[in-house]
Amino acid sequence: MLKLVLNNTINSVASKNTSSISNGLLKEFSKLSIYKNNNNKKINNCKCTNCVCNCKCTKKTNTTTNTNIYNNMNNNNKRYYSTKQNIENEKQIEEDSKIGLATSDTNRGKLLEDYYDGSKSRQDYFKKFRDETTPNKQDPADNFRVRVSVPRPEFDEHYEKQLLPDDFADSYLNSIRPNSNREQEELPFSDNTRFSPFRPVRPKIQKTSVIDGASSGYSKRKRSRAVVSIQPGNGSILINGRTLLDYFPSISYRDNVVQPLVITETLTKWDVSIRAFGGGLKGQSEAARRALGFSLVNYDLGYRPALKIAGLLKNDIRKVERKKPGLLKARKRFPLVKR
Amino acid sequence: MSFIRGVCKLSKNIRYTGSINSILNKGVIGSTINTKTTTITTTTTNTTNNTLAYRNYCSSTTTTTTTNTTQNEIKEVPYQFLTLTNEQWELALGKEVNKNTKDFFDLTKSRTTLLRKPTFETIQWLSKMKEQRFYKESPQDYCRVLDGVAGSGKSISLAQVAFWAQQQDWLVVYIPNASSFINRGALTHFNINPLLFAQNNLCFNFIKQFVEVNHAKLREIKLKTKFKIESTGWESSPNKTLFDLLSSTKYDSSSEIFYHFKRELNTIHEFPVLVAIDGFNHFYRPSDYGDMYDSASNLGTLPTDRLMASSLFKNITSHQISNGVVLAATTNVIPKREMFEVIPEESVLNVPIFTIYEFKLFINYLVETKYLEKSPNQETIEYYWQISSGNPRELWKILRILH
Repeated sequence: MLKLVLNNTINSVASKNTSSISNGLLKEFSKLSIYKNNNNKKINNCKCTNCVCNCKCTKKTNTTTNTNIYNNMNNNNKRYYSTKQNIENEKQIEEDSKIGLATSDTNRGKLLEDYYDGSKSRQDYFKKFRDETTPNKQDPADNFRVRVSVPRPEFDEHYEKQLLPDDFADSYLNSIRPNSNREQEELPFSDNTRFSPFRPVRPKIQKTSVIDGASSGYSKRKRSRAVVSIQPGNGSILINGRTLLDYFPSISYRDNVVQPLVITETLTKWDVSIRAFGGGLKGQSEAARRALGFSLVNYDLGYRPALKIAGLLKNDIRKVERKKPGLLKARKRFPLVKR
Repeated sequence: MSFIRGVCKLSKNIRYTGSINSILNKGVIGSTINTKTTTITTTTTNTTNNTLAYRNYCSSTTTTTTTNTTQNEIKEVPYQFLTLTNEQWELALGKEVNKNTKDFFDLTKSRTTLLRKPTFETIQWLSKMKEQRFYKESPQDYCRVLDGVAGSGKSISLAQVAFWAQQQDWLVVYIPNASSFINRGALTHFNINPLLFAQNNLCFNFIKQFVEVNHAKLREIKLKTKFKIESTGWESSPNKTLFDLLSSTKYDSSSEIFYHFKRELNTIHEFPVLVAIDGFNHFYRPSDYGDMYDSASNLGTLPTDRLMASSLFKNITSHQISNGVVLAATTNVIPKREMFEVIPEESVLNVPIFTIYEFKLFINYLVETKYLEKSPNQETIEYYWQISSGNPRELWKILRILH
């Protein structure tokens, strides 16, 4: 209750602005430590010269009096700063003041931020500061712009520049992910200057091929193959070393083989040698027929119109149609069962 | 009596012994047809090989040329045609004929055949042997074998030569099918030679037919060996003839009589003897039969050496016919490899297929004899020749089908 009363009285006294009373009261209350602490706070706010002097005096007295109850507050503040980090910071501040650095709050904040971030060490910070504050030293030759002699290749940095890992990385990246613009260069349609109009299909030039007085032709039908070679002779026809009658028992098969000779009216002009293999007799006879036509054309182009009109040079691509699932044959369905 | 119609007229009493050239000059065997130079009309197109896509076509021209080969061929081989009817064939060679020939006689009344180079070569050889009185100077003088591809005319050539020999008063023993000597009839034991099986059925039919054809000549041949037929008790004597022996044949004694007939055949000197065998390679057929005494087994597997009839005529390279020769023709039904191991190559005559010239001659003759109503085109003739590969049998088939 006394504390509350004293505070109220102090305030009321101050408001009267009497010089004799305030000075006397201040001296009386100065004996108490409680008043000193409170006064310090208030006086600091005043701009009077007396208040300023009093502040200085109070600082000294604070260091001497340790028995007061209110010292605990100061102790609490010290305790807040009494950690190792705070102690080290204070030491660093002292060192900085010795060096000559300004001890402003801004610098202190920066130091703390850098320290807490862990991005830089304290020494790195000092090095950076020194580099920034110290002026650059230049060679005297550069100041006067004197032309320097051409260096030798081993001392020329640009002449024998060694490839660094980054250079290999760039080439590797270019190979992995090429420039997207290159596609436009490579595609012919993107460049109008490179476009060429379509050319019409030209007919194939027919040529004869006679080797050692003989020409040959090849053809196939179904699964049969036939190779025929002809040369001028007495009119003999051999198929796989046998006569036409021995090889083909049916007269229709023999007629197939002879048909190109009938159309060209050269039945007894050529010695024909036929090698047929694969498939059956019908396929072999038809393959031999077309191959014989080709051999005649290869010997003399004059036979081509007649053979072309007769259709003996045309390829017959018909084959046995495959059986389909659900059908008896290629197209025949299973017989209907009503019951 | 005329045996050949349209081609040859032969008197029964005429007998000729001479070379083939003199035969042709006197016209004993028909008249020569197409002995002059034959003009061949060919169409030639003057064309040249050109590598360009477009070329000029020259006009085609027709020219008439005669090739040297044709002239030489005409001089060397005087082609002739022989037309036989079924009756003439039976009178000359017997009723039993080859299967193919029988088929032709069934279809047509007469059969026209072309006398080709193998026939003339064989006739020359026979005439030569007759001139030297069948004295065998070399292994080639014993026999001749006609060989060729199927349908080339081996049997026809053999029949032509046999017919020629028949006309020349040779004693012809014509065997039209050698397979019958092996596969026909039942077998019984043969007492004269226990290793052989008797073939009564075959021998009886053969002797009966042989007597019908050659009864006149057989009456003039006297027996020269002494033997006795055990089953009938018939004995030989110098006064008896071969006709007496063969006419007394009975079924049970036919094999024994056939055996003695072969022995008498070796001693005949009144007539030249010709043994003509068709399908001779049947005698060299391989056999897989082991027991020769079991007659109940399959007859086809018996070796020919154990059968009496085939064993008598199998050996032709050193036969014992004193006044005759053997002429054989092969068949393509069975392999010939075993036969050629025994027969020397010099004794083999090749029967080739028809050349285009021979086929043209044949067609011209058929047109002249009105077998064909009109002459086919030259391209058609070449087409038929190519389709049949020059095979005479196939050519006959095509002519009968297409005309």
